[in-house]
Amino acid sequence: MRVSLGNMLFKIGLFLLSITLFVAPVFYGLHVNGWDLRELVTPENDVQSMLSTQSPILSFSDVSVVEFSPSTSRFALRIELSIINKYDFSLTLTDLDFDVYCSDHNVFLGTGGIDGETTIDPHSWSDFSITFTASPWGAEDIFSNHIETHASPALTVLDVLLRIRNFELDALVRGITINLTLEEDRLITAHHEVGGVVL
Amino acid sequence: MKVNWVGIIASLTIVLLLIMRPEPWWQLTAGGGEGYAAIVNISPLNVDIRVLDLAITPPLTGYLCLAVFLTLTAASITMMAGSLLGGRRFSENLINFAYLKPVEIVIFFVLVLYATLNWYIKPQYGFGIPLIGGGSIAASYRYEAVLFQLLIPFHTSFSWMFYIAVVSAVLCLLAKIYHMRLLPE
Repeated sequence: MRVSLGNMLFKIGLFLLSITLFVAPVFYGLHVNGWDLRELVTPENDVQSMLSTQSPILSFSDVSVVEFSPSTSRFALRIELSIINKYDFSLTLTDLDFDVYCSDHNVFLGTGGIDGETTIDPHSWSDFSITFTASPWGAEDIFSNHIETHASPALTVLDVLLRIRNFELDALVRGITINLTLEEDRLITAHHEVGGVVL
Repeated sequence: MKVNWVGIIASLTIVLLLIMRPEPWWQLTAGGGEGYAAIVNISPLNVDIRVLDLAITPPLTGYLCLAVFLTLTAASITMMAGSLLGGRRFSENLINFAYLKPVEIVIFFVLVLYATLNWYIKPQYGFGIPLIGGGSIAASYRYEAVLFQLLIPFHTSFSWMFYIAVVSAVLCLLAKIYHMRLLPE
């Protein structure tokens, strides 16, 4: 009888040990976290916020006219684009394109972009010079509506507000393909002066 | 003195699981190239979830892993003691305390993993992750009028450590069966 009681107490002891070994660490965790279960199941770092705040920054820094010939209806611009990589890892740009519109008349001028891969180091930036040649109907809008000629002194002035639409960028970050789309149009002004009257 | 050799080996496999605590039983890797974009290393003894080198493991998992560690440590000790004292009546209590622990932990691990992937992640985030295999996850988010669409290739697998845990659980069951033959009638 005594052996049987000892056996039973031994069994109960082992059972209580089982429970204690599992429950004690969880209770300790709750105690350390001020009995706040939400804090215990919430990770310390927030990936969504990190991804958002470290998102690449795009800025159109400058635009210059590289070809301006009303007689041949050729009009070309060089658009300077900076991309800042705020991530802690490199970003490989695989494709970039956008549409350019005349903002005043909503005329599609053409498409600009970058071909080939470019890798931007962590916490660094790359400047891109994108040469953009207007389509014939785009050039027609430019030469018909955005040129002023001054007789004295003889000067031809070009002013056009460009609207960048459908900006899309494809990049690779550690094997992940990222497609970045600007949902708002960007406006940039192209201003160009040529001495004399250009025909 | 009767010795339960199967129990001793089972106990040693539990010790191996404890020593190899940082080794994952199941792993998910996403991305690749110069480093994984996301890596999920999971076992009942250690959970490590990193996205873009950022640890996002909830603190609770650390305490649950500690609980499993202590439970398996106790199971290993009692399995060893019960096996060395095979002929004694109370050794049965020690074996009974120990033998089901690794079995329960292995089964519970697979069930929780399966439930998390299919009944939490799939309805919550809209993509399925198989226990073993690979695929691509499409995800998107907006930040200041910029839409980010991500295509994340991933791969999942059980590691060799998981199979050692299965072997350990089977040995524990065999140790219990063998122990019943050692006990006096």
